[in-house]
Amino acid sequence: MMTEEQLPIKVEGLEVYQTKLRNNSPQWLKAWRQKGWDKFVELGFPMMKEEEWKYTSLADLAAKPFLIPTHHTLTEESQLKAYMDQADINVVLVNGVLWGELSNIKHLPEGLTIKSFLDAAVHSPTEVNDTVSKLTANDPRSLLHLNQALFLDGVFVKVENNAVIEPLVHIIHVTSHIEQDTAVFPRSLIHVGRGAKVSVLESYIGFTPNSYWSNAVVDMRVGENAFVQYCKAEGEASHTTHTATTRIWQERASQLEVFTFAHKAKLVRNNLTILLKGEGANTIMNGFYAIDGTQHVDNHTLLDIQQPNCTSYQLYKGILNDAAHAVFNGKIYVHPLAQKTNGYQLNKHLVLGKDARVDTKPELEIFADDVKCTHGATIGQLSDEEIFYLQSRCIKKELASQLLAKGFINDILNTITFDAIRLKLGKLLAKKFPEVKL
Amino acid sequence: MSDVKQQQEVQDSKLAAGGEDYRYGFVTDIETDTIAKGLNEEIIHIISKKKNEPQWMLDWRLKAYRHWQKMTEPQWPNFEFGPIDYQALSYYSAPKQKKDNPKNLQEVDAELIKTFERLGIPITEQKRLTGVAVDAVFDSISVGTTHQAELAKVGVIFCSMSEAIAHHPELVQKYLGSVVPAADNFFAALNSAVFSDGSFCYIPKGVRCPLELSTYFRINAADTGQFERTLIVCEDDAYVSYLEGCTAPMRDTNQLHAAVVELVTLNNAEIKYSTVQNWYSGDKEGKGGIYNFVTKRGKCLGVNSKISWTQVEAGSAITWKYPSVIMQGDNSIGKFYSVALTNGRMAADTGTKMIHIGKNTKSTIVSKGISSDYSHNSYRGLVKVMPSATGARNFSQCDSMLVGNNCSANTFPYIEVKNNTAVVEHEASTSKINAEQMFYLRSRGLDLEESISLIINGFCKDVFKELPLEFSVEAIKLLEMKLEGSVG
Repeated sequence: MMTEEQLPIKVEGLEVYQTKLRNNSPQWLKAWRQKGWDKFVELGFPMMKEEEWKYTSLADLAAKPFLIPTHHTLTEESQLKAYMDQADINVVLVNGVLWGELSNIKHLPEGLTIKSFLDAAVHSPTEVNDTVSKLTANDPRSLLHLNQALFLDGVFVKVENNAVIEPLVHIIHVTSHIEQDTAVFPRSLIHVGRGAKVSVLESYIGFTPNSYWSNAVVDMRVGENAFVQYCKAEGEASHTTHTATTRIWQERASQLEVFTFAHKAKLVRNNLTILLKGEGANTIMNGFYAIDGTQHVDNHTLLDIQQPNCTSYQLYKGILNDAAHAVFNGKIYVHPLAQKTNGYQLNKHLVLGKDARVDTKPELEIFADDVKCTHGATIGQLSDEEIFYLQSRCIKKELASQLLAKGFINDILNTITFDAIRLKLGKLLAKKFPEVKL
Repeated sequence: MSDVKQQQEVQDSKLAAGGEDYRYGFVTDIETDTIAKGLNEEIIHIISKKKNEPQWMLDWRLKAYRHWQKMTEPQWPNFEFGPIDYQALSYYSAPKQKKDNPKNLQEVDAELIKTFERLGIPITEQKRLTGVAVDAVFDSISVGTTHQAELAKVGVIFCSMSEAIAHHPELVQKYLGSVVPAADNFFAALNSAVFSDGSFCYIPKGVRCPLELSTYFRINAADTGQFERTLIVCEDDAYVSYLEGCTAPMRDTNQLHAAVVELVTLNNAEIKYSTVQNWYSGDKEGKGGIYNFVTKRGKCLGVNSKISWTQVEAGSAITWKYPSVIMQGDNSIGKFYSVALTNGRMAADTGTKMIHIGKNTKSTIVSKGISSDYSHNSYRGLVKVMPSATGARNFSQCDSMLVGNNCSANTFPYIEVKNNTAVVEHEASTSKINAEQMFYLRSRGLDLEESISLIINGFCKDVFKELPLEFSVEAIKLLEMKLEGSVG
């Protein structure tokens, strides 16, 4: 047994908290949490000397003692309401726990179940266990295991076979009313049945001047022939560190459109892994980040293609101002069996800030011969000629750059086909780009 | 039966069994002066003494050796290599010369000249290839350098490293280790401690080297490693084109080749460095072959200078090298053109590093990888734009082609940009030979192999056109030969 000093993370009142978690959990969950904790202690905090963390440092986090939130109430209802839309199915979680007052999950469309993660763990343990245990096996990412050990609660979404859910399912993880240096562990599990169709937006929002660390995990299983649109929007409070691990499992002939958005936290690290486990699965994974000041956004994506005839399309774009730092690492891994794969990956940066920095690494690892994979990366500025063109038409230089930036942004935002999602991202971005209407 | 005959028979049976076509796989039966196996300070003293080196050179070697002892073998590449026992190698092996220092080529052992002739490298000047001066390196030493007198007329120094240390110590001291420091990496440190020979070229101010310079490396002895060191310096406004070729006999054990190449260009100077690498790559089961772990780096020290690397990598059990350019002078240019072909059980982890430091520096990377059979081919590159490199420009293109379903092609491009005026573009693709292209060629009467060869040639054309003419023809033939039988 390790003493408290030897643990890789310091949490105030850790033992009391872990006892509470154990008392809340059914047997299998207890064991599962313990497994996560052991694995995290074994792996420790990610270090910059690891290839996966070459450009992103969590040294600040590792040194700090953390608090666990004790309140799960929301004080900023009006602010949240301005962002939410009553036409959607809203699921609000405050500091990791479902907040019934703003959520409208009592009367859900047929075929859709939304409940708390713990509730599901008690009442439908096989369903939960089946998905998460398949995904966790020997994952070397320690932050994932930390979430598994310490998450308080989360949300479980289930779409029955062949159910078509028209309204947007909007899951909002709010961090509110917390002390300085708190750690929250949002967790979601989304299960989409065979032939079902659903659109999900997950927003991570913070209303607090205090700094905190949000370490989220999202697991999703997309059944055969299902169609899922999924968007992860980061809009945390500005002193925040946001780390997220998203794991998606796609079955035969399923279609998935993922969008990853980041713009506000001090440090964002997204780990997105998509496993194409069935033949003919199709993935679109796009992303956008707009950062300034000393913000740092790191996107690591892995597309693991295990079966033949899969297609994937990936486009990540970023705008950097001031001394912002963007990191992109996209990997496409094609297994020997995955013949006739068609993969496309592109990462584009618009660097406006004088001290901005970009580190990008698009990777291909290919073990099948009958495939077509391409990737690309560009880093550049607004072209002088384009600005001149607008200036010569009596548009001020500042506005001209804004317009061109808008074009750069719209190009990627328009790949989101679900209007409700696009409009919400536009709302989040409005503060960053006040002069242009997105 | 002599050794050579035995070897020949072993090879013939190999050829019959595996169908492997490596016509450079013979062994020259020559008396050698090989020092005991193992690596320690005493060995370094012996090497230094054999070459009559001054004290400063010995000190430099020892310093590198002491640093090497503290280093650990890197384990990050995308292939596996067997453990290398650094104490089981002999670090110096030279063919015994009748005289201590052959003054001219007539005094060089006839057996050696014959060996190089068999390899197609004429080191007797009468039969010289027009316009090419050759430095021939056999195991640990340089056996002869042609056209030295003709080059001396214009002030160009082209000689073996040992000669350079003896006759031009001031130049060697100034530039040796200035691009690849002795403690740069594990294999560079090892090389700095035990390097035996290699070529030294110095092009004085304003001279355009009248001949193509070239070095031919040959490993012959067993249980040795080759650790040569090449240094090319181009003064202001000078130009040189340098070619390098290499072969080794077929053996069942892996042999280590850990060379260091340093290039320096001053103001407005240009170096064009071309390599056709065809070390023995092991048999069909991956037994034997050369470990080609080389550190190659050029530094554009002056303004408007240019360094271009062109490489055709067709041999070696493992190729692990990243010819790099540090663009320190303003407006300097770095270029990298590469074709890497792997077949059998070969592995290649190669690419380049382009470090932009000066203003308006430009770099181009064109890399073509072809993998077949059970081989692994990786492109690993770094484009780094430092905060000082205002207006830097890079274009990278790396294409891979897979022939067969048991091989792999990987791309790991690192792009690090710290200046907001930089424009960096990278694109990569992986594909197989297009069925429609094949059909088009087949329907016009070309047979399967001809069609494939034509497509591969087209795939690599961007790189081949950068090679000097003779090399270009040779490279195309080499690729065709290597791919024979692996398709269909």
